[in-house]
Parts: sequence; C-alpha cells; structure tokens
Amino acid sequence: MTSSDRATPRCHIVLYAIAAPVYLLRLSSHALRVFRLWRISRLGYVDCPHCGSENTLDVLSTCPRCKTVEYGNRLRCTGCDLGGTSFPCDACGVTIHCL
Amino acid sequence: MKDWLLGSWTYGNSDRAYERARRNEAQASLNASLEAESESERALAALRGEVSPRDVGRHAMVWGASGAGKSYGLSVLTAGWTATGRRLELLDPKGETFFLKAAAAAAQYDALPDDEREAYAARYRVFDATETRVTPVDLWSVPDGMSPALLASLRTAATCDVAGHAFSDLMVYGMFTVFLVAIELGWGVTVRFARAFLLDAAFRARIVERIPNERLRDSVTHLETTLPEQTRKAIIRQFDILLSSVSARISFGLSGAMTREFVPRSCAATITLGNFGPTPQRPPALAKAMATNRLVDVLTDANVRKSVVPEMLLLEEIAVLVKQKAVADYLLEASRTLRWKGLSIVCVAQDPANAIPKETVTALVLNAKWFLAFECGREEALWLLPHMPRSGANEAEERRSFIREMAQLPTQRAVYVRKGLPGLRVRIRNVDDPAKTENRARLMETFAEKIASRSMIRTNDAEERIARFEATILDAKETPGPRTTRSSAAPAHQSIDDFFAFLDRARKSDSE
Repeated sequence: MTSSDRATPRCHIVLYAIAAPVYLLRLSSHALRVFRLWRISRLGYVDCPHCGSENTLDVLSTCPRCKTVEYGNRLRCTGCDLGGTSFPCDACGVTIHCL
Repeated sequence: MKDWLLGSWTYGNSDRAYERARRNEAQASLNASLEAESESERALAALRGEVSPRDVGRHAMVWGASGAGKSYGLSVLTAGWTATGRRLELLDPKGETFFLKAAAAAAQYDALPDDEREAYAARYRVFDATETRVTPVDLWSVPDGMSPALLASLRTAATCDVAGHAFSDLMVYGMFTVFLVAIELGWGVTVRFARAFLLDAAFRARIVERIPNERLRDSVTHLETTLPEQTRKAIIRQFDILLSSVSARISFGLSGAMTREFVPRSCAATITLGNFGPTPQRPPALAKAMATNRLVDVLTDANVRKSVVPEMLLLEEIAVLVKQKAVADYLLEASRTLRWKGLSIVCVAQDPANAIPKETVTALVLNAKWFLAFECGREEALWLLPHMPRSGANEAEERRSFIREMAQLPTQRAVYVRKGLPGLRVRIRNVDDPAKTENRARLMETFAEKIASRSMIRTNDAEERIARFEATILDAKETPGPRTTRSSAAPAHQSIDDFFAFLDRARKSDSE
C-alpha cells in the first residue's frame, strides 16, 4: 500500500467536506425549483410576468420537440418524455420561465 | 427516484392533467362562443336601430318560406332603422310588408297629439294605386349626370318584362326609341303619342327638329328604314295593352314637369313605402314593372347624389325585380359601388337559390354583409353553414343536421349571420300588430287619407292633364319646345327632292 493509496480516502473526505456546502446549495436550489414547478403544476396556472394574464397549464398543447398534440400539462410531453420549463404566454407571446 | 421526482411528482399525474385539460378546453371554447354570441347580439341590437357609421352601406339578404315570419322580421328591423331618422325605401311587389308598415304608421299617427301629426305624416311618401288616386311617377326625367339612353334602356327593360309577349330585338329597339324621344323632349308616353310617332311621318318630321340629341335625330329621321311597319304596329299593340289601365296611363303619360306640377318635390319624406302588389286597379304585371322602374329610380338617385346619406333599400321579392338582365346588372353594379353613398340594399326572397339567376344570386350573397334566414331549403342553408359555430361532430353529420334544422325552423325563428362572426339562432320578437287590436280597415283608411294622400293625386285630374298635353302635341301644328333647343336647326327632308336640294345646297356651301 503506498502512501497515496492511504491518502486517497482522506483526501476524498476532505474534498467532499469542502464541496458539501456547494452541493448543499445546488441541492437546495434544485429542490426549490422542482418544488416551484410542482407547486405551479398543482396550482394549474401561471401568471404572465409581462402582461399579467393567467395561463392555464393543462390544455390541448403541441410538444415543441416531437410535435405530439395531446391533452395534459403543456410543460411535459408523454410522447418524447420532454420535461419543459418554459412556454409562450397565450396572451402576449413572451416566454414564461417556470424554473 | 429521479424519474419519479422529475416526472409525475413534478408535472403532476398524466391522467389527472388530461382530465383537467379537457375541462379547460371545453370551458375556453364555451367562453369564446359566449363572447362571439354577445358580439353577434350587439350586432343584432345595432340592426334594430343603433347602427354605427361603419354599419351604414352594408348590404344584406333575408330569405325564408312563406309564413316563416319574414315580413314581421323586416317590420322589426325597419322600425329600428327609421326610428333614428334614417331613410327607408320599401319596394314591395307582394304588398304584405307595405300593409304592416302602413297599419303601424296609421296607428302611430292616431296616437300622436294633433300638433305633431302633420310633421309625422310629412315623413312618409307612398307609392300606391287606388280606385280614385294614384301616385304620379316621374319616369322620364333624367337625373343630373345620367345618360338619357341608359334611362331609356332601363325603362325599356322594365316595360318589356311586363308583357307576356316575347319582344324581338326590333320591338325592343322601337320601344327604346319611343322612350328616348320622350325623355329627350321631356314628354310623357301615351298610346296616341306612340302611334303618331311610329306611324305618322309628318308628326316625326315636326318633332325631330326639337330633339337636342343629334344621333337620335338621325335615328328618328331614318326610322322607316330601320323599323318595318309591321314591327311598329306590333309595338303600338303592346302599348295598347300596357296602357289599358288608368294607373298605367297616368304613370307613363305624365312627364317630369307635369309630375312636379301635381306633387312638388319634398325633401322632408324619409320613409318611402311602395306598394306594388296586385290591386283591382292595376294588373300584377304592370305593378311589377312599376316596382322595377322605382328600383331603377332609387339606384339612379343614389348613384348621382354627392353626399353620403344612410338609406336602406328594402327589396321584397327580389326575384320578381331582377328578371330582366339589364335591371339585374344595374342592381349588381349598385351593390358593388353604392356602399360608399350610404345605401344598404336588403334583398328579400322566398327561395333565392332557385328563383334568382345563378350569377345574380352569387353576387348578391357575396356582397351581402349579413343574412337573416328563416325556414329554407338545402342550398340556402349551405350558404349559412360556413358561418355557423362548429359543434365538434362529424362534418358531414353536422351539415345534414343543419340542413334539417333550417328546413324545420318554426315561425319567427331564424338564423342571423353577420359575416366574420359566428351565426346566431334568434327568435324575432313579437310585433305589436295594430291591425290585430284595431280595425284594419279603419287603420288603412287613416293611412290613405292622412298619410298616403299627400303623395297621391286624383286619377281624373291626371288624365285631364295628360289629355291636354296630347292635344298640344298632336293636334297643334307647333309642338311644345324641348328642354334645350338645337342651335343649328336643319330642315327635315320630307321627300327625295328635298333631300337632293339639301345636298346641292351643301355642295355649293362647300365650294364657296
């Protein structure tokens, strides 16, 4: 066993310890975004930040990638499994970022 | 875990999202339909009276089977239109709408205080024929800016339509010439005048110098060579039949000047009601010809006027009025060009798809901005179908059910379509028909005495005036002068010797 082999776990631990706050921050940030998306999805609508009009999420929509037209959440396509995070406002057309 | 977190958990359950989306879409479509419906309701309300400036000059078509409620519907629409002081011109070859409007006018006249009745009656001008009275029609005055030849050709078309006899082109030409001469000279047309003009060369020679139009003078001079005697006699026979009734003799016999002597032109009348339905005094064919002539007059007036005057021209039984191609073309031209003069042409028919020539009805449907359709057949229903909101069912099934629905519409039920908006199923509101509560005969008597009499004249007076005029032009050597006299009058050539003498004189003057 070399000295480097012995140092590796310890180094990893140190590195993990140093990186942990960053991962924690990333995790919390991601969790927050997912929670926000979950909340919007449960709420069923998003207000446009530009014109203030209410945009319903569950509608007859077309997938921007595979062009599947289906009833359901406009951020998610069951055809290509796309999980979108933005869509254009029905009233004014600006892109609404949900995440 | 990740799939679950970024899948169903985040975006929601697919099945539930599907259900919600179906509900949302249905609600959105209902909202859109309600919005459109309220817009159509506003349009319908606008039609009842509160018409905005942009709605003036929009043509329309109304159709439906007999007894479906067209006349009552039109009564509602026109009452709203005239309530705001807009002009209405009703041409009714059937007489039903005329009687509804007349009864309503009489009832309103009775309900007014005495001091307001005079002004109310002055709003009306009536075209009708009774046993003792008739409305004088100025058939022979040329509106400013109109060609006399065009007026003569339109009058000829309307007159040819009256006769059951098929007119040859020679007969049409002869009648056109008689009418054009009368128009150019400012005279009326009577059988005696037509006979003298067509058969008496001396009479023609006497009047030819008075004709201001040089080409017409030439045609009249050579009438015997262009029109065989048999044809001229056939035309006179047709005039004999045409002008056998008193109202026809008066309508054709009065010149523009004579008409103005009897009824001075008034601008106060905004509502003109024309009854061209069959009466005991007037043959149906003549009534239709007079309706066609009135149509020509209204379109011509609108054509030559300078300002925009909101006016609704309501043409009942349009199929009767557009039988002659010349008149149909004139109406189509008007429907294309007179919108900007404020003229809204509303064509009413029972079965427009079959009763009106195809090219005419296609143009009318194309130019119409709104439709009001009562119980009707397949073709008319298909005109409406593209404007009706989709129910989401199979297209063929939807078409079949709509045709069935239109064929079975109950009375007073109609479909109102304003182009650009979804069609609306409406029920025409009940009309307060005064004739149902009061004595119809008394109302019509009030209308005839207090309102219609203002625009009608006694038949005896008119016939006397025409007889005096005939005596002046036929019995006197000097005929009454035309409106404009020719500056360089050339002598008429009574014989071939006169003609050679004229040529000699012309040759000498050329050599000098």
